[in-house]
Amino acid sequence: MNFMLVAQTVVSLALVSGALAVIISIADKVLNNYGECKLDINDGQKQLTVTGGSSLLSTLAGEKIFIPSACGGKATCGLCKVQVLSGVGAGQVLPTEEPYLTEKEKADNYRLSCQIKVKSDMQLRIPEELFNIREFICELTAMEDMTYDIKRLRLKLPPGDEINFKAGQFVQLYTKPYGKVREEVFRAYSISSKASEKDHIELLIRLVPDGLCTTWVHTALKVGDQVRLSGPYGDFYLRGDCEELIMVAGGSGLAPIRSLVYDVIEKGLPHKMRFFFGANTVKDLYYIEEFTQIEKEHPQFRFIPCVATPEPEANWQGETGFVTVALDNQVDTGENKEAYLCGSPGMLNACIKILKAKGFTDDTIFFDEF
Amino acid sequence: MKENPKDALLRVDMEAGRLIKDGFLGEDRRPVSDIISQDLDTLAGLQVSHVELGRAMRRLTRGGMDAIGEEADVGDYLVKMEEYMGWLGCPFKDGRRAAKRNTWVKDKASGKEMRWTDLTIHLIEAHAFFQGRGSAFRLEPEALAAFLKLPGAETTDFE
Repeated sequence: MNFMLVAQTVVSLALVSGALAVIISIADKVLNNYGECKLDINDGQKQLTVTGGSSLLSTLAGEKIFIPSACGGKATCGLCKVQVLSGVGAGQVLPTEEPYLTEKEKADNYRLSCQIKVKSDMQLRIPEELFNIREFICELTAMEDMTYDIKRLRLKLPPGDEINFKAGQFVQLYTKPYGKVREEVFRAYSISSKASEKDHIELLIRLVPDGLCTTWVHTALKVGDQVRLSGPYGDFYLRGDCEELIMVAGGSGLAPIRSLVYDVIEKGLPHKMRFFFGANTVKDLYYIEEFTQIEKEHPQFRFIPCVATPEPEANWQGETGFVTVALDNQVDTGENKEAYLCGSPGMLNACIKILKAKGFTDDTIFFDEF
Repeated sequence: MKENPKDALLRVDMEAGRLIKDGFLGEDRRPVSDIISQDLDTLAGLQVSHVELGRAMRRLTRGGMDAIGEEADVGDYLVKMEEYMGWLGCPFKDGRRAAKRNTWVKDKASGKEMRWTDLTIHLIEAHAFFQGRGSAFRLEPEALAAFLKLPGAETTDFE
């Protein structure tokens, strides 16, 4: 008897839940149905007819216009700015956008495209160079452990296709649903391979605890899988208006620096280079033999790996202490130098503080904030 | 209890796979505002505010920042931190973002340990949100207050 009652209750609840789900689904379709919307980009240069209801960032991506975004549309990177000149969203900055927009940008109608929903016809202005960003479906041809938490991915482009990027730039990597993650997510990763190698790219991806994309890479992705990416993006690339390049990286931040070092060498550029690579322990170091070899073969390059807390058994002979200490001790002034930094926010902030005290300026310090 | 539309939207962003892999709610099915108000009741009984707790956590995290990767001696505690590249946005959409930074804190006297992220600190300090039951990063208000020796303990300003 009790069993029957419980069963009836469970069935009733299931029916009610099902009905509610159907009602919500219908309501969502009716209430959020914005129909067809026209997007006018750069005064008629491109005119698109799209279905409203999604973010401007994803709507444009659906039309193969890829706006840079490192955070996957979560309003934490501030990269996906576009000018919204008319339509819903023009001049209405949300609290989530405030930290990323200057007063001038607000006055010029800039918005974060991840925070605007396409609900009506819109007039947009988008930098023309973004039209050259492409989508690639690659094959993961190799994946190896560089350390206990960093993997190197080699992604081969389709036969005959090629990617043209500046050393230091990044791509957006798109995941597939896995485990509890039911939606595709994307994140930005710097390219670590040589810009001269156009038929593939390499990425270095460190596992972030509870990270959406890095967990997918480290636990679900397999050699032979198809991987979607778009790019290249970003303005972290060589300026070279100086005599010496000071490069500082920690962890997977080594990726764009590796690409930059090879670029300078392959192009026969005259710049001296000093690369400070920070690690917590010896087991966090990687690519040591490769950079040591580059140092032997190219006198213009100096490699300074720094280990904060070397394990006693590792018999570490190199710099001991934080990479910031070595940077402070070994770089005298910012005169005729440019600095290229890639690492965690804490490391970046500490390095920038040291470099500015030595005369580096915002115009001579370059970094990607993701 | 019935979930209001604001809570329903928050729940979506706090679910597993949205902002972080395992989400902020664990198995907790209570509306977010109920989770907050029940934790605030607990704090009222302890006579300590979520802002005080958040500030004390932030002081410890800052105390460990000069020694990232190493164990830092910060008053009554040993603090160890790990940093990753990138940022996490606040699910309350207040325009704040937090570095991907984990802090492990050990009370030297008791040997008890706690772990939090920069986003955890912000959620507690700004939103009184200690996360749902079963969330990997939920901190029980009572246990956190006791660990931080609040209220009443003299706190060193490490800033």
